[in-house]
Amino acid sequence: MQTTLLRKLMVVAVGGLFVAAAASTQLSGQADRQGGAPAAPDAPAARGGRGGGGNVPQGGRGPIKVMVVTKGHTYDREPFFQMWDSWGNDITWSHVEHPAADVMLSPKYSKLFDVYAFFDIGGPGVGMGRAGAPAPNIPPGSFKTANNRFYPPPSEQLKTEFPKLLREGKGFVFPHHASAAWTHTWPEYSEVIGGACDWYAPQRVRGIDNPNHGYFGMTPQFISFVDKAHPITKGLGDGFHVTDEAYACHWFEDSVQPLARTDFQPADATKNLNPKVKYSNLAAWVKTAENSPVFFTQVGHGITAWATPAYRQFVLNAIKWAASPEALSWAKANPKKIFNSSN
Amino acid sequence: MKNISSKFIRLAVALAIVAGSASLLAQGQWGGGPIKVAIVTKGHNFDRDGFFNFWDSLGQDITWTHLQHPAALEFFDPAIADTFDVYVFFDAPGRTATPGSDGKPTFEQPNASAKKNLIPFLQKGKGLVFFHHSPAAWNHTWPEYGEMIGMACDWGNPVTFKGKTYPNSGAQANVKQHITVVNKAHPITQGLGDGFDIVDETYLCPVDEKAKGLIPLLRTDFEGVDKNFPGRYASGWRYPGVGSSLAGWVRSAEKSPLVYLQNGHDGVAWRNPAFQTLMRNSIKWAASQEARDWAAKNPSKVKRSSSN
Repeated sequence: MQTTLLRKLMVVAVGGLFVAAAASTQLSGQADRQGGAPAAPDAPAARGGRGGGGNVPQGGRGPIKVMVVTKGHTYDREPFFQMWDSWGNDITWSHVEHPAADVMLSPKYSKLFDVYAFFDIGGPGVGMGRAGAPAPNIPPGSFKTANNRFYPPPSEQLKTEFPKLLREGKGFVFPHHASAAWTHTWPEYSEVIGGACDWYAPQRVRGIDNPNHGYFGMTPQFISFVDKAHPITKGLGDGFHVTDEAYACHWFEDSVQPLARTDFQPADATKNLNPKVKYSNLAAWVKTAENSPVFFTQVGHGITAWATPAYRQFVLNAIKWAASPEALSWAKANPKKIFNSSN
Repeated sequence: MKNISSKFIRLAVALAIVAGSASLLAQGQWGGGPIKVAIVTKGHNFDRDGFFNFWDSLGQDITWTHLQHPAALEFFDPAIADTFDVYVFFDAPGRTATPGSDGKPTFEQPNASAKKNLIPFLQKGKGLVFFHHSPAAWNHTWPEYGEMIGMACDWGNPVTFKGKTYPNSGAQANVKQHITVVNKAHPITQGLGDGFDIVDETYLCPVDEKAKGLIPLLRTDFEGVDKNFPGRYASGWRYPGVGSSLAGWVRSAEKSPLVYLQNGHDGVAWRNPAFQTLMRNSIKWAASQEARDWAAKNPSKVKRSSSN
């Protein structure tokens, strides 16, 4: 009898685990790839981040003003914010999510920020859901993929103003899944970053049709610096070990200045990329977009990366570089025209 | 064997709770409801995970966007104000004094455009919900802002409110209170019955109870006298008289419906079902045509800033 009861309880316990796991994978939007479990909702105030330590308040107090953009991809919020706070002697950061961010990305508001950092997916895909589920709100002009996903387009204001902001010359930092923003609806945006991703739908990038891109969670990698003289990598040695999500996405090797490469290789890249596209192991680069310096790194999915000291130093260096007069001068001397002058 | 069984029972219960929490979170970060809400913060540390989980829990009614200063005040520009239906303020900027060139303390100014844009913004009829420490925003550089809310606080500096200077404000954490509903007919208090119990931080700040058009909704049973703030009192801090017991009200600001709720310091309050009801009702009311019509019919003038 007791054995039977014990078995039933074990079934309940294991079932509970599955329910919890299933629920946590049903988070909205692109949530199926969220890094790390959300913190317990009963976290006491003291745990909620005292800022960067040494009396640095939440949001930092440093001289470089950074707008941090999120939305479109869930993430483990507090550890992410704590990483930003840890840079608080160098930066003052403000969290501005879509759609407010779309409004702020304009020369009209550019005095407020030196660097724009993106951990978002602008225009994220929305699945049609299961049969019988309420239909999602599909904005007009959304792009529909073959597997029935809808991708909202950027606002006309953003399409008009963002190129002007790039021409003004500001610093741009794009970690990790920011590479999936506007992939289907605004190809010029992918050219700004230097690559494009979508792990949930086939996509056409630079005229080439790819299957769903690849993502490989919790992958131990060594990130090798291939340009050790650049201000972002200088003094950081040969590279760093990190366990993080790796990608097989469509990177534009011919349009970027490589800084780092990963030793990760997907077993079969043709599952994620058109055979015409050679798998790129690029893990970080710099480039210009109009008159602005741009940094991208594939690394930075979740806590395991954010807690890696070398990663933190690497990205902090990137922010400092993007804000520097040297980077702004370099971009203006080496501009990359992406948008038609009419917008 | 009995011990093993009871351990499994506890494990099963724990997993069920975890599953319940996950289910709550399954509404997703940022919610998916019809009311577009900007959540404005900066200038006061807070438990970010607990706070954002709270907003997610309202996700069937709202889609929320975190919007920090200095970007936030730009949305007072009527040209972009309609990005959101309701603006919720949990901010407290402008409190850090730095020595000016003459040695006197100077405080952070709001964005240059904000003072100019505020009144046209309010005349549009936007829903505004202020709670907890938000009456501490811009006291020293934009006193008309606190007058608009009906309250002004600063726990580290003296406060000048409606021309009168008060000592540093009082704050006492983890206070058991009973909040009494004093207006049971208002949409914001529906579902709260006669009131509710809550453990939360309470304040001693000047409140303009007689502000034009102010409608009291809630009162606390905490007595706002300086002796009830023992830490500060022991250090010699004194505050004149008895503070207001108002813990929630509505009023109009030009043609905009405005709510203030004194509760909401941390996760203890955010997890209180009554507070959740209160915030949900406040946002739904502030977003409603009914509230905008009410504010348009009962407008209250907001003073233009004297410093621009």
